Amino acid sequence: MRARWKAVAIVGLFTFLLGGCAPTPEGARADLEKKVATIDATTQDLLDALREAGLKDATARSVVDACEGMPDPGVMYRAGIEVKVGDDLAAAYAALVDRLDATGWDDTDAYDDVKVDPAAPAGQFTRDDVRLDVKTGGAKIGGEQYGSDEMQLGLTMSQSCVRVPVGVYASDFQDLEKDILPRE
Amino acid sequence: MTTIEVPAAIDPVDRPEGSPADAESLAGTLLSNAARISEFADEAAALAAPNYLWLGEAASAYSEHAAAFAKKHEPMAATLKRVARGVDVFAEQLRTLKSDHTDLTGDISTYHRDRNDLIADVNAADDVTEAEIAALQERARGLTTQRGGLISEISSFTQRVTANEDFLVQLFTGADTTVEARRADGGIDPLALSAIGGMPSAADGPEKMAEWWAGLSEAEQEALIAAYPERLGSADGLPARARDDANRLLLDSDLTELRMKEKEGTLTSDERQRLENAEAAEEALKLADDYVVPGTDEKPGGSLWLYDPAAFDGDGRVAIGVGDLDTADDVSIQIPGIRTEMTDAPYYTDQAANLYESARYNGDGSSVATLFWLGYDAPTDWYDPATITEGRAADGGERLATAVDGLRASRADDPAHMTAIGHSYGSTTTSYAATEHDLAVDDVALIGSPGAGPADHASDFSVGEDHVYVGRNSRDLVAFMGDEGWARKDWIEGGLGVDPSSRDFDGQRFEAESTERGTFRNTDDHQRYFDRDSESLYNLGRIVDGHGDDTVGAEQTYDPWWRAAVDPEKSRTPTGDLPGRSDTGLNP
Repeated sequence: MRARWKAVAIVGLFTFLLGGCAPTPEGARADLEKKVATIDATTQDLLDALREAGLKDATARSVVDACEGMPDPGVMYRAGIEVKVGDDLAAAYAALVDRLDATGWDDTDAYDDVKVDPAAPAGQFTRDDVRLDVKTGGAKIGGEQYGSDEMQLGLTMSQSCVRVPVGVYASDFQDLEKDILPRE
Repeated sequence: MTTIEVPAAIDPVDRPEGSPADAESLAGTLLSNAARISEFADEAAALAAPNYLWLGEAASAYSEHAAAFAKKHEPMAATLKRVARGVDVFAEQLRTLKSDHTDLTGDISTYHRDRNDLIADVNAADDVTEAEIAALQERARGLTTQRGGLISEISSFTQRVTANEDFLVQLFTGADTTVEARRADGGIDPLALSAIGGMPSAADGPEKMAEWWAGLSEAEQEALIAAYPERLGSADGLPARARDDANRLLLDSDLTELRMKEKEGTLTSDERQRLENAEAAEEALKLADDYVVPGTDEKPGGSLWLYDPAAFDGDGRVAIGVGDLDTADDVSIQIPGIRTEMTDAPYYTDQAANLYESARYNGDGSSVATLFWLGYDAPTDWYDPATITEGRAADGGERLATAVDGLRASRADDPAHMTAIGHSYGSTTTSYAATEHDLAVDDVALIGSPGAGPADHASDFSVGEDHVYVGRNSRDLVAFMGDEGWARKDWIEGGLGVDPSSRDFDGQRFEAESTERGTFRNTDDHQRYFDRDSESLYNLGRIVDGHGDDTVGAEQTYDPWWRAAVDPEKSRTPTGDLPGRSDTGLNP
């Protein structure tokens, strides 16, 4: 009998937890737009950093992705930067890391246990609530090599997933996706 | 003197006439009209019903007349709907033929260019060596072979064009009189009428279904899809492409009919639910069709593998694929959990796309297709009594095993590596399929599982214990429902079974923590298993790609008698976007 009460308690707990704080479309958009402002500004900082590191013609693009899932779906905003750096990926990476050090980014220990080809270095950095993943050399997908002479930077925020009401999709926020341009 | 025999030129091939877009527009108009007639018939049937406010001879006469009117018009609406769907099939085939014509014309141009080059070289040849003559002869032989192939392709192409035109003519001439329109088989192509007689029943098994379909001509298949999409769209054993064609017809037809009724304010509550389900399927299918793997130009395409918007009292049944289910080397099937209804299809299709990306990005180059499958009646909510019992999971397990048998049978000569991924209550459903119905996949992954149903140990699964993978976020509140410590299934009436991440169960546990995980157990962490650049999605991608032995393992939970169960993953720092652990794709 004691166990039955516990089963009922578990179900009740779920009902309680899932019942509250239903998001609204407007609230979700407002929350997401705050993250958009942070990511966009940080992306522009990084475009500056790349230029200062001698890595020119970088392009940046932001997207809205789905995150989490049913029964409580969410969306997240993230950005990516690509820059062609030629054959010497390691030198380009070192130049960027210098600039990251100078602009307040902290190298995390995420790569401490990861085997990385020294000729195609990668790293993870944080500044305030933003995580920056830097990779070089692209990837081979389905037999096709993408971005072998490129450095790719990915920006996400911690607690990036914004809850949306059921019936609202990432595609409803497509207007927030854009090419992020360097500051004048 | 040596002769070089240059093969003859090839006559140009006529481009198929007509516009697919115009044909689709005609199909839409016909469907709207069919819906109007159907509505008219429904209204007449309603008026024919007894009305206690109006009795007497006149009332009876009116009722009889209205009933007769309804009876006459129902088959007319059905015939017109069939004709409309047939026109849709014609339009799709015409689009394919036009594309094939462009390819064929290009190949013929290449042939003529090579032929002209050869003629020029032969004419210019003067005082040539034996070796040069041999080379010219070799080029001529190559062209002759090429010509033979092209002539054969042209012949086949011309036959297909004629068959498609005949199909359209038959469609209209089979329903152009009042008598034909009122017949139960009005507008049905004679090819379809004769072929449908041989269709096996579902009870005969998917192998028989596959065998029957493979024995039909392309024209018969096309006619059947146009005439009987309801029967073919969910026929286990048919190729995914055929099911997709049939289900898209049903979807288009539902959307046209129900939106028209919505506009006119005549939707019933059941129809409103059906419309919501159809619109969710449309949204999800668009996501799958338009999906491009981020950072690449790879567009795998979508398919509507199952479409039944009225099933399970309006909850609906649906399955949407990303990638080619008929040819992919690796195929996965995702089984969702409680609260999942057809209206949720877009969210799960997003997850299928993420899984596709992960499997390809970290994969061995093999082709991949991922399928979100809601083919069972998932419990409505946590408070649904069905949630703490296993009835729906048991029923769903049987349905899942049947669906997988269908996928297998549809490509028996080209078996894919298959993975079933059950999430939440869907993991219990998957456990039933793998324990009691011999689920015919190669690997199983259970994520966020509230319990493994009838299985006490991974070795109870049809795939063998080394192929049972388990992902459990240590903060996932739902995973806490599995047997741990005091909350044992044999103590509680109901409950969903042993926690598959436990040492007792002994599955292959993989890392599935999230960088966004909460401090305490919560339901958000129950929903992060398909997030991009997460540990869980990375490992699921490896399993789908056929490399489950390459997942990043996690220590199993255990249950000391003196305290609550322990999850060693609780204290580990999660990773995100880390190569070899949580990197699942290129950046945007």
